Amino acid sequence: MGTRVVKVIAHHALTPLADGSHANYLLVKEGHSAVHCHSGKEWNLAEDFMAGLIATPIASPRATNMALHSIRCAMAQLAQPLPSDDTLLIISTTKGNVDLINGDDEAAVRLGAMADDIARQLGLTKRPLVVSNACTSGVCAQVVAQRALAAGLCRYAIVCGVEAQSRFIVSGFQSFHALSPERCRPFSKNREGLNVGEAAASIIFMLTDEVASDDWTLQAGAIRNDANHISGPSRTGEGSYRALRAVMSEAKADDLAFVSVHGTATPYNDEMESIAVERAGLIDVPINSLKGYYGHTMGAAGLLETIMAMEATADHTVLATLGYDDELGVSRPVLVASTDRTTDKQSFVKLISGFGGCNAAIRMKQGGASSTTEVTSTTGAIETIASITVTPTSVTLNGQVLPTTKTGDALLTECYRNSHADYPKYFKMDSLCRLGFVASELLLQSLVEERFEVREDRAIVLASSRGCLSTDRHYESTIMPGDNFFPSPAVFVYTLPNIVTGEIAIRNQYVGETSMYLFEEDVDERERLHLLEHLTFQDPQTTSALIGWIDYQDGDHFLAQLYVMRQSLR
Amino acid sequence: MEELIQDLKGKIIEVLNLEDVTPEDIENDAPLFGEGLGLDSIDALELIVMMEKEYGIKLKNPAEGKEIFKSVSVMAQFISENRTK
Repeated sequence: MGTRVVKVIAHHALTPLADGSHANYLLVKEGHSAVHCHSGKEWNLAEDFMAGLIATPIASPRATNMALHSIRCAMAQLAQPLPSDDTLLIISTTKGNVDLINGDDEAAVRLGAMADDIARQLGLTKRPLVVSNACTSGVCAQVVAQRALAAGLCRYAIVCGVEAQSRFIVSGFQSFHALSPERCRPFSKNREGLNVGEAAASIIFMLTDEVASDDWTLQAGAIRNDANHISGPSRTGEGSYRALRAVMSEAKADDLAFVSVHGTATPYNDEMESIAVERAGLIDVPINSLKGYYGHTMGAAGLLETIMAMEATADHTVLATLGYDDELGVSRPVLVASTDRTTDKQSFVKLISGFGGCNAAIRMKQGGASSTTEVTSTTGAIETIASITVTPTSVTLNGQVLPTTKTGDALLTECYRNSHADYPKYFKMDSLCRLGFVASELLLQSLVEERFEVREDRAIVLASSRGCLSTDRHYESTIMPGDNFFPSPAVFVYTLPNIVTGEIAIRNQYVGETSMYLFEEDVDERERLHLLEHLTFQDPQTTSALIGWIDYQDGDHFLAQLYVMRQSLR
Repeated sequence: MEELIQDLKGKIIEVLNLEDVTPEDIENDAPLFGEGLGLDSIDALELIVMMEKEYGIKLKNPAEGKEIFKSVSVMAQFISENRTK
């Protein structure tokens, strides 16, 4: 058998500019932008905003239908239909159909239910996965696809990133004062913030030993946390640097045509990335940001920007950073340019970062398999070394029921007090994070090991059904139209399911991988854990993990089942 | 002014969820950010929302907050001069 690699067999992008990957690329190359001014009044918002929005009407549920369209277009490129029982669908999104949050049907806004619906409509019988790691989701989802294929969980993987813009999201970014009043200017000293955008973008991968000269292969991927702050990028570029270092461990800077960075055009993000790029030894590699063309398409960004990077590299082009004005506004001398450049290199890195302190990178390459990194599934024997179950009425740590007197939310605060964690930030957290904090704190206190030292070897990988739905409703209550429109930034920041992994990473100084998956509840717990183990322990840096299920419905209905697992053999 | 200062301390504790802090713990002239209360950038944004909601003061540029949120006294002074409700 030849070298097994993960290769791209189809891709598609639906954006405000065009319907199709190549059509999008041609318009981007000509310098077109999807970002325009939209009326705050029409959206029941206090201020106008700049965004890249799809003008063509799309039926509700919008995100679901955008994803379906993009995936169907990608599938239509294949000569043969995908095997329905051997194709894994991986959805990347931050907020899915959150515009339906005020309806009575909870399933309409549960991300796992959205993925199940998409899979059903596509005729896929394998249980789909949702990756929701804030704005890094689209790169993380490709990393997950690579691992699922390498582990033999499927022969094909459809990865679709989708984000539909909504009043919910725009008001939140407005409350953060993160939106630019004009088209964004990545890396410029004149940058004033980001623009949001919407898109659906899909890539279909397969595991194969046949690679043609124009095939794209996914060579390496990594996910790392800053362990610094839930909304502010690390001042040292910690997680982005570590993700870049991981994906470059078997490649040279000289091999890269460019690094497609996140480049949101917020002051802190672009500065952070310049530091990370320099620390990773990539300061002499051209970089670009596509946010001026599309805005920040959040859960779709990692896919859309990977597709544009493949198109550009195949066209021997490093795309210009639209909006950049040759006035560099970051502290490190990154090679960003306002015009297209040519390249003869055949690989690139896509870098991305997001709330919750998460960062992710992938390295992709076009061409023959001769110098291609073989994918291997390196998972060794995995043992559970500690476990905890927290319900509204009891806490069971390593098989022992802890003495407690309270129930519901009060039980969580009682456990926090009893843990003597002395972490006032606990009271600022939303309910999902409090549950995760208390469960992880008690669990990690039960281990005999040094704590609070920076470590990259332990991942935090959680799965949930409702994610942050209770906080979504809380945030929605702060943006009621009329006299009570006061969007709360402190609530908005918790409307991302992965923030709980970031809070645990910050508390413990874990700079390894953090990941959040969403499934419906009906998946068997053993099956779920088995899947999480397979996906988690394929990163060579990850030798232990805080792993499990965390779900919060309301003060009387929640569950955390967490484990510390260790890989004993490699 | 003393009444506004006391009122403000209560509101800060409430909107920033400073569970274990009492109004007496917040000194009138001590810095709100940096050491002490352990507030961060999200807290600063939340204080901007609080100023608008409670006192009808809209800060266009969040950077202005840096000066205004120096201490409870400075904040109270600014509010008394600019409040619309």
